[in-house]
Amino acid sequence: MKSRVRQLREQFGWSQAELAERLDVSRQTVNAIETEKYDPSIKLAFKLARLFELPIETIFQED
Amino acid sequence: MRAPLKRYYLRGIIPMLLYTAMIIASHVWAAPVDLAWVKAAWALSPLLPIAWVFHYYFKYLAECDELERKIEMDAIAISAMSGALTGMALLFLSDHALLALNQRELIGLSVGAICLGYVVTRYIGIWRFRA
Repeated sequence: MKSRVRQLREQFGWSQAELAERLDVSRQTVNAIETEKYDPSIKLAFKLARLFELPIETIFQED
Repeated sequence: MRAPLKRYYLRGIIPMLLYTAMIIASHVWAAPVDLAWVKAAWALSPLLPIAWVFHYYFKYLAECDELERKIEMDAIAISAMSGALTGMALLFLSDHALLALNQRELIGLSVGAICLGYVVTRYIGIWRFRA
């Protein structure tokens, strides 16, 4: 799945650690989502959408 | 190291020390009373601290984030499969008289394969998703 998380995080000026703290996950998880090694659960995807104030489908897109 | 993992390791220290003490005690001293059930309880007593560690492990799994939980679950699944495969392989080899193992060796090797499978798979998972 294509992810825009890195781009959005950088727009918001957050580090991976800051985003991880906001999402209550590890930095490893944020990095894995950004590098598209791991697809987040629906729950985490909704958390990201709320945080970036964007619909899920603009953050994640199918390959 | 994230707080849940650190907490799990710290919580595990006392049960593991207790396990070491109990395993030594159960091998060095005979059961205090010569009754079958007392002997069995004495022999199985080191399982209690291991069950205590497993209890903390379940707590740790509940506190993990989803990627950490996936790494743990993958490691558990693969280690269970490697233990089953090792056990079956040894049984088949014994059935065909290609290997002469007693029960202790057979079970020991299967449990060893489970532990080794867990450690290796977990570290591969951590390496694969490293930040």
